[in-house]
Amino acid sequence: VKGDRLGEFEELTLLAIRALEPPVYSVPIHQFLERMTGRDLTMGAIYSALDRLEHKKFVTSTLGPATAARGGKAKRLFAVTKLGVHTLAQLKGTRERIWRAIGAR
Amino acid sequence: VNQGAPRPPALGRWLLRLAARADRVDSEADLVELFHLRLHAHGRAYARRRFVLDALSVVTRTHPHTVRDSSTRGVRLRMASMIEDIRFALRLFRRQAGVMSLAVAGLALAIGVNTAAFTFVNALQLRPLGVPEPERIVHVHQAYGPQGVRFVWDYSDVMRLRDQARSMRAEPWLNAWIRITSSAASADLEAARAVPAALIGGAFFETFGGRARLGRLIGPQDDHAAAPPVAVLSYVYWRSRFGADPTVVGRTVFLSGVPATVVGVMDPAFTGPFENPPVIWQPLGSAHHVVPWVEAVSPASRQPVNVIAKLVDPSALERAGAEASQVIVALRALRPSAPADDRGPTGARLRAASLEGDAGISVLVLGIVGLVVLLACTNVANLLLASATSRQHEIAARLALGASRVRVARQLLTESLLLSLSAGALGLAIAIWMVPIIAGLVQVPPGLDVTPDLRVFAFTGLLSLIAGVGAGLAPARFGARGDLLTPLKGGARDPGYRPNRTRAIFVGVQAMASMLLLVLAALFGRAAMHTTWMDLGFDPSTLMAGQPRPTSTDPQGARTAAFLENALARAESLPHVEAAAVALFQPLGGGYMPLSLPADLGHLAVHENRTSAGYFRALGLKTLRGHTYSAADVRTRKLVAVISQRLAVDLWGEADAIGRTLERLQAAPQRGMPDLASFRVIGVVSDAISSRLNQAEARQVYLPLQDGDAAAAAHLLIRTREPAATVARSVQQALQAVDQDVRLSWTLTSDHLDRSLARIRMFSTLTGILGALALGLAAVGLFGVASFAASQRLAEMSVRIAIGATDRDIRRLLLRDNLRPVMLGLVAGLGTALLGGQFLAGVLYGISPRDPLAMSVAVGVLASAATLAVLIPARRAARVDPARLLRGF
Repeated sequence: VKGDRLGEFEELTLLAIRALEPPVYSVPIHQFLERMTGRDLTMGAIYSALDRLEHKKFVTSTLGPATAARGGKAKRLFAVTKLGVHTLAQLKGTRERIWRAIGAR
Repeated sequence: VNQGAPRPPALGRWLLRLAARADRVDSEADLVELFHLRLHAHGRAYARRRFVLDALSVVTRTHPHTVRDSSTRGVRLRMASMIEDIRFALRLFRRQAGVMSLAVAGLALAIGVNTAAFTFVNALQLRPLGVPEPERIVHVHQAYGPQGVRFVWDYSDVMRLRDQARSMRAEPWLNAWIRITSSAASADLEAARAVPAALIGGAFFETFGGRARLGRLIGPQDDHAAAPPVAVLSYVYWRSRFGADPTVVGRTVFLSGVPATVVGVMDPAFTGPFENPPVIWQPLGSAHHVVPWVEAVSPASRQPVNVIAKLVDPSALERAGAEASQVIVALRALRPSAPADDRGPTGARLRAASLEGDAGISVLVLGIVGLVVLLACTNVANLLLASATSRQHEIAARLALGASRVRVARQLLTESLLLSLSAGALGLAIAIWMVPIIAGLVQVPPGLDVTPDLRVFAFTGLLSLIAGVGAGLAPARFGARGDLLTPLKGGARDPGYRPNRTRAIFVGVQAMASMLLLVLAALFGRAAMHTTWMDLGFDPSTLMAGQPRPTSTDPQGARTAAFLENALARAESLPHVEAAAVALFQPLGGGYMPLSLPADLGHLAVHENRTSAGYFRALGLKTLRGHTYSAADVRTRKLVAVISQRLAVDLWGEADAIGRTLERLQAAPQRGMPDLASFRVIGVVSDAISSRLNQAEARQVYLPLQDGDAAAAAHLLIRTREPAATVARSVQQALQAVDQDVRLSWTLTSDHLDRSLARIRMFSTLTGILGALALGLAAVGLFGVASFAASQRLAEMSVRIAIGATDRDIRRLLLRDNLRPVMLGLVAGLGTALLGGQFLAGVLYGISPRDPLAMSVAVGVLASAATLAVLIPARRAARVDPARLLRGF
């Protein structure tokens, strides 16, 4: 258990949710991440990451309206919480400080 | 929605159903959407593959809020959990020892029998040609124009072919049936079975790459007329008859009563380039001592032999063919005395040597094998299903405590795999034990190696795995789906019993497969009985036939005809001979002339034979009406006919056949056969199946021998006083003395009969065993299902009894519910058998594939076995004490 910290894949998923235009649900997240990482990702991995992010309160999800295109099934729409935005910003700050330290040498 | 649009693969959709409910609902729509996105971007194959992978990832993914069990941890823990699964399964088996040993025994028997059957198919059909580089082996025939072909060559011509062909190495060979004994005593000889022998040239083994396991092989020094007879034993025969005794080399064996020295034993890998692997190898040069119809070969010999060749390389086929054709054309130019009608060979025809065999029969055997495995799987699945249902409580408890559904499914799968693998091991042991027994029962060709090889082991392993997974998956799904609350609340005694559709389908499929096998077994059994006790109309055991081989020195057959006449007279004076005759066709030798009658007499398959006057006495046919033709009638070529009783009835019914005229439709006259247009019936004789065993009816016309019949290779038929095998040799020698230049090939009629019977006996034995097994499995399975259903419905039955149902009502209710799927399966099986039966017509020897007796026996046996299997639990349920059960409610 990684506690309240973000794993690498969780961070990427969280970033993807921020980067995408609404409606943000599992399929566009998956497509976006495959495109950005250049890796083949399974849906199971996406679901697990989303579950964990929600569990850790970095994202919230709501059930969207049913759409005919998906056989009447509703989409689970994700949005990044304030905590999520804050954690991402913190992580970015930490990384940038470290990179600056590398660059200064 | 576009109807032709590709759908996600079934495997993936099926996998998704294993997922937890919440996951399934969310992910299904996602995965389908992704599938269509990928379909457009990357194509069908990619989309399908990724769909399955995604489904798998959804099923196996971990949830942050569920209790972690060992399946979510590392490899080491997974291993530990697997061992845990196995130990749990073993404990479970011990608890249900009776049921489980029944399942293992049933499955083992099925796997064993099928492995044994596969061993035979493997040995008979899947075996590669027993020589190195089989792709380079060709048979060389002589072509007569574009259509005609002559398989044999004169020995001297083969020698020329061997010297002149550069692209292949041609070798002469013959096959013969000989009896191998350890002494010259005639009692031994009589008891011995004829085995196939290969008679080969001295360079044969060098050409085809044969190697000796022991001693030496046959070489050029053995292959001339003055060489003492030697023999090389096949590896299989050496092991089965001599117990792999290494001192066999140098020993003397008797080949058809003639002593020969064993010089070596073949390597097991070399069984020769022939369709039937020979039991013993002999040089052609000294074969004339042993095989009466083979003459002493010399470079100028006209002995007919087969030719098989090895190409110098696989691409040399055309070149070799051209060379052989050149040799044939040159040979023809050397022989201006060829028949004037210009029917000499025009070239050579090469045919790749391969074991095409009887593909239909392998398919049949493998089909039956598949059926039995299906049956056993269904049975074990049924059993596990029943056990999974009764374990709902346990499974619900596991799920409630946080086990993932995959984990539970894996547990159930482990159990069935364990079950089937132990059954597989036991089955293999059964197969190894059974193969020699079956081999003895069905009389496999003695040269055949039927010890299980790697392919057989692989087959058994695969069979067990398929059986395990097949039987395990259905209960696994069932067990993993069960809802939590009902069983935990004590729902094992759930009064709302619903007849389970899956289980009903299993029972139905089982009934159908048993029905099919029973019909097959009944049909083959009928055919085997029919052929064994079939009244041939004559006694084959004291009959032998000798056929003079046509020679180029006597093209018109005058000398052969004179020989036959003299030999006939000589034979009748011999002490062992009861009667003798000459006939165009020998009994059961196959080959006959179909007789076409004018349309107003109907289109009957009528066999025509032309005989001397003594034929009827030699065969033992009774004269029923009129009289048979006399020696004088034959001499004067009178146009009279004797017909069989069956034909007389078919043509004229009750009316008298004597004096009527039979007219033949004018078919193109065959060469050497006089064109007989019409003949008067003078006698009716008893029926005889005298052409071949699968000749359905004994419609026969006998005519006096004609001029030219001798040249067309008529047979000298000898009715001996003792069994023909014991006196054959002395009779042959006595008759050969009549004219040394006319050589006869001799056969025993009982050998023809044995060979025809062997095949049908083999099928009836195999299907009989499989059918009995199938019936047993089905009955046991049905009994299990019915008992289970009855125990599940005990509460319901108690209520019914309490409100006034009688024993009979309860019994009838249970019988009806349980037998319904059986009856549906029975009807389906019967329908399939009726529809598919025509493929069997050829091997049933006159029994119709829709034989009503066989069908009704199969229906009766299955129906009564099923009723019995259901009746016992039904009676038990009807005797239940309602008060005791309802109190516990």
